[in-house]
Amino acid sequence: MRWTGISNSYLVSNHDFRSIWLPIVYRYAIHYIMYSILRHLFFLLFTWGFLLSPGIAKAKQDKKPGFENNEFKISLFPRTVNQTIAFYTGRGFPAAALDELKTMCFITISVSNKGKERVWFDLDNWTFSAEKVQVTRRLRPEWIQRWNEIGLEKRFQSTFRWTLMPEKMGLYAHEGEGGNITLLRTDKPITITAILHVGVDKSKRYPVEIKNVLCARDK
Amino acid sequence: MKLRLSLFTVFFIIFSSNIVAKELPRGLITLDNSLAKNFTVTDYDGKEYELKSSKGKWVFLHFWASWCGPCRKEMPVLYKLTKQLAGKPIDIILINTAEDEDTIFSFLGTVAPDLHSYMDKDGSLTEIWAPRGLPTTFFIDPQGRKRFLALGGRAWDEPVYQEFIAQLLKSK
Repeated sequence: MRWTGISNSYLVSNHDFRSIWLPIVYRYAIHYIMYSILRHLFFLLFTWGFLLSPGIAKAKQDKKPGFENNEFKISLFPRTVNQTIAFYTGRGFPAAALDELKTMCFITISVSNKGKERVWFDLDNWTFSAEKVQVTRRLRPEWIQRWNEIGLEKRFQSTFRWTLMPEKMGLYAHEGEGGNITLLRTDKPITITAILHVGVDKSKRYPVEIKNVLCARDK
Repeated sequence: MKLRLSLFTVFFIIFSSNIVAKELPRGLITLDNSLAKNFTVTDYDGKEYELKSSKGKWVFLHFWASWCGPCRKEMPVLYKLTKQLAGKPIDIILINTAEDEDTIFSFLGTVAPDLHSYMDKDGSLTEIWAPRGLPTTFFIDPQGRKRFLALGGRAWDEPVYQEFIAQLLKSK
């Protein structure tokens, strides 16, 4: 009979090893594998559950306010004064214009068409309110008037206009459009409501509400 | 006989057109074939370009600005495209919207030093053409009609866009 050494103090024959120890080894191996799989599954389920919980979803929305459905996506990026000033300083805007910009709350809005139908937005039917009081949006004609009072060069006026969100648009399939809206500064959380339409004939109507949008502040 | 003639005419019209009737590449839309209004622009060296000088050729009319992210992203591809299409019956005309010489020069110097752009100094030409956003590219046919519009930045080096441009060049 041949002996197989497992350790110096524990010697078994080949026959004993196959009949006694192998089933035990296999059983432990199977238990270990199953335990590993279950542990990973539990971890994944726990993580998903945690991330999908309302609290986390809200926290995510608070960080990047927006709205999304199967047809379109709206993203909002509130800009701090420093970000706004840095952008326009980089484009050579004079100090008087920069001072004017500092008084306003800039929110970059992006609307993306996710589908194949036209998606229509019209800023005329967007409302901005804080604690149920309307927050004034400065419109293009008012900007033009202000720029003319300051004597801002036409080229800067043009650049500024191009950085504003178009007032209305019918986005084609997979088209996106973005730009700034300018609101009077407020420290209160802003609620934005809008109605977007979908389809060539604008037959589908989608009311949108985005809450807790804050004018970004420099730290 | 009349029916045969009509059918022949229909097929002739369909197949004689070199611009394929199949679906346009993503991000391109068809325009109304209206005549493009003539304009003159200058580059940072004072060299002039007039739209009507491109008559008989396609025009790839591209509006851009250095502050616009998609414009920046698209520039290297546009540079490749200008090299690729050199000598072909198409003029690639870049028009910067309302920025000064220094801004344009230093910007192009970093992304595509050999790319050439004209300037719409006060932004008035861009206002007239009213692109849907920046960047935007208009395709004007050899007869001076507005034919297609490319929404935003496009990957012009992708086969689908390459084929589209190749088809344009084959057409009259």
